[in-house]
Amino acid sequence: MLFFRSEDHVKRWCEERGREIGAVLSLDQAWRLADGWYRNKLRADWRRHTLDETEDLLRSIGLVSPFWALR
Amino acid sequence: MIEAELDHDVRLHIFAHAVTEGAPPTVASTARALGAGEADVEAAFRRLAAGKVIVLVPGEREILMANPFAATPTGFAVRAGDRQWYGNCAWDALGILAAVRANGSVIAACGDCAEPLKVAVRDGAATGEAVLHIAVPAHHWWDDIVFT
Repeated sequence: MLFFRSEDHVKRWCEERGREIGAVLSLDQAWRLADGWYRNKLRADWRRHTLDETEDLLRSIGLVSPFWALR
Repeated sequence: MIEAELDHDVRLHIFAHAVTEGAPPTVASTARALGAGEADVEAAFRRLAAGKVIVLVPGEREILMANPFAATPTGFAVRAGDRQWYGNCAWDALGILAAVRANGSVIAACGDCAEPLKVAVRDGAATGEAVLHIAVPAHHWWDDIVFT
């Protein structure tokens, strides 16, 4: 999971490697994903998200394409 | 100490150490800190790895990743005040600032052209000239988490 300067740079990187483009997130989406995923990681009562919770998080950020399917 | 209690204490120590020292601890230092035996701590590391809480160096007993924290320097440096950590990837670098709940910045490079990139996080929002690319579909992230 890499940062790129823009989606054009993602396209070029993928083309050079013969890879399909995966998912390109805006910085706002990336931050909301990271925040939702890790916000409680240091808490004593932390536990892994359930599948339902993870799907809710992804949906709340607009990540709903088949790429994001968890099951 | 029963396994669940040890795993809990080891987990808290791993992440507290990562926050204060910049990287996750070793088996030996965790054993010293908790007054536990190294074999018991190593077993706890392996159980935490099996539970996908941490990732061990392949074939070894030490931590490679205590997500979002990396055990060794990476191309995703994270700074908040005078503290510095390394993320395992772009997502984890942002995740460190989320976990420590601090304003700060991520210093990385464009995966394509290697131009330096800086992402700032302040008061719950990220700014910078960058997008994040995820190459592996979500269902396959843990097939090879080091590649992911």
